[in-house]
Amino acid sequence: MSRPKTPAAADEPGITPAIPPRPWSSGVKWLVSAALLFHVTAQFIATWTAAPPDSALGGTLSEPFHFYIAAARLNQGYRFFAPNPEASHLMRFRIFDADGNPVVLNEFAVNEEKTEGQLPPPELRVGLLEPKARLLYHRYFMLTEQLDRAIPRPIPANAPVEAHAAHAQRERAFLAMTDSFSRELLRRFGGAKVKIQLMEHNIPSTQEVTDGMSLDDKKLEMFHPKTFEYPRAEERPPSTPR
Amino acid sequence: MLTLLSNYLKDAYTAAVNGWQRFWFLPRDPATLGVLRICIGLLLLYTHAVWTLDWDGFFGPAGWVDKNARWEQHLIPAGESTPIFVRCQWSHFDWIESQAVLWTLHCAALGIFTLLILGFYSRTVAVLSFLIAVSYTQRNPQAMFGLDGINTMLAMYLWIGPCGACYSIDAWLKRRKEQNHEAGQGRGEVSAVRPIELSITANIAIRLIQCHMCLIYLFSAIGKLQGESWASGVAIWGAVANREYQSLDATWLAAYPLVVSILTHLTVMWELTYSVLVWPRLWRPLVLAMAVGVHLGIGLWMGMMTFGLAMIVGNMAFVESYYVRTLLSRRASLVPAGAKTSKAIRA
Repeated sequence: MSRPKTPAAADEPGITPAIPPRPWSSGVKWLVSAALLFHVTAQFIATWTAAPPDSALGGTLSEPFHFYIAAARLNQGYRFFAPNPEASHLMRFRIFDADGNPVVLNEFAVNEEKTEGQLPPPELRVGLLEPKARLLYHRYFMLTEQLDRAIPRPIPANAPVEAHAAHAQRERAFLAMTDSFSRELLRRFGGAKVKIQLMEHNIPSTQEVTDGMSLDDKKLEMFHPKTFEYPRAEERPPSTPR
Repeated sequence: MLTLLSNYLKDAYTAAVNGWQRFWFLPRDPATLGVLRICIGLLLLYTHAVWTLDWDGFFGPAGWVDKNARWEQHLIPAGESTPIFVRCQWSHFDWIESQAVLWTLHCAALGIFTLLILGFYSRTVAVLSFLIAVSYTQRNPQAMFGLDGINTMLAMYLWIGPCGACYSIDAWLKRRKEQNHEAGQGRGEVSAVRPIELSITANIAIRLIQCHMCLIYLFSAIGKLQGESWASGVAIWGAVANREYQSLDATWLAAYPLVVSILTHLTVMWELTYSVLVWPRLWRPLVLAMAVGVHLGIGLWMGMMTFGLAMIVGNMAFVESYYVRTLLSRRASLVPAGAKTSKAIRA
């Protein structure tokens, strides 16, 4: 079937004529339909199974689509602020030179002395009209959120051997992250040693805000009990007597 | 009884096949797709240009999350096989060590996004844009969030249709070529009104974005239904009183718990019903208006304007080309060849 060369209603004022496309054969339609069905099914299963809780049915159904879902990066959860909006997770750090003196931070600082820094950097938490990329702040914020998610949660002592092996791997992965963050801080600010503290920034209740609490109130800051150092003790060169 | 069942199944089959054909294979004016191309190009350009501000931190040889740290996240205890998601991850940052080459490729990527906006070799640059967006997300999954998922999704569907058929250099070049051809054949005065070339693939691209948007909101709502704060109507407070997200102060909402409750429940109800109510023409403007309100709100109050705009761009797939043309060229459209002009939509 040839395409119509003279569009209908071309002489009508105020109307743009339209040319229909060459119709598709039923073979092409079947082929495209199969591809569409495959993609839409894969997309549905990918979105369903990308976020917890796990479903046995979802897991079974997703198996034939694994390769496609991974290659096209369809495994997005899209669970915005679900199941609940939660506290933020940040990282505070101090850097020391070889003599143990704190390094002054020209950016990322949270105290007046500029010896303590924070990721995400507070100076990038800008308003809409300020000429800085708020998106960059959000990128840093996601880094510390992911660092929090990587913290290995404790498992019972009588857990199966596989659970202990998986836990050990999670610990290695988490330390690899804190080490990597520390090396990046040393590259940026110089120094010889980094101390990292993970922080949870809680959300006040409506009552607390009504009573005058600010979102920056120190009472809302909760620190992880452990401080992470780099280089770690086992990686430090043996100290030599002066 | 058997005949009744047989007739029912026959009718159901016929209705399903016809419905499928109408939904996917009806030709569509590519005007909306053209506008989406420009918007998606702008989103990709801005999103990737921002990486430049801390290139070494995110893409340098070490960076915040170096290769070792990234791969340690995927390692599993000995004896178990590597998950397929890890095996299928690819990124040009894993293949190229030289920072000079990576920088050059970054500049090229920004150039490709610019070409996408301008609509030059549109379909080719749309494919490249999708691959680039995926490659960047795979290098730094720890720094990614919803915005990147929406960006890659929109870029993935864009190239399926003739995204450069409207509002592009491609369209301008094609028009000029046709005018020259007509003038060369001595047809005298060349008509200023060019016919719109309807396209089946434009429809498929738009339909895929529409379906994907429905999935996003459906699963976002299902996720929220698992949360106590959404069920009890206080979740919006948790979102606006989070210091790290806040860009405009909305803590005055503390004095209006009823407003917080209404906003919370409205958000969940809207997300939950989006995939049903966005299709009927009567409801569509209301559902889309709510989408604009919600996402602009996220952008203004929660510091995620890029993400908010990306979601609005996704919602634009539901805007009919007729409105796009009316708005942009002040000419209404759509007279399929052979149709009676009295039934045509007039400007």
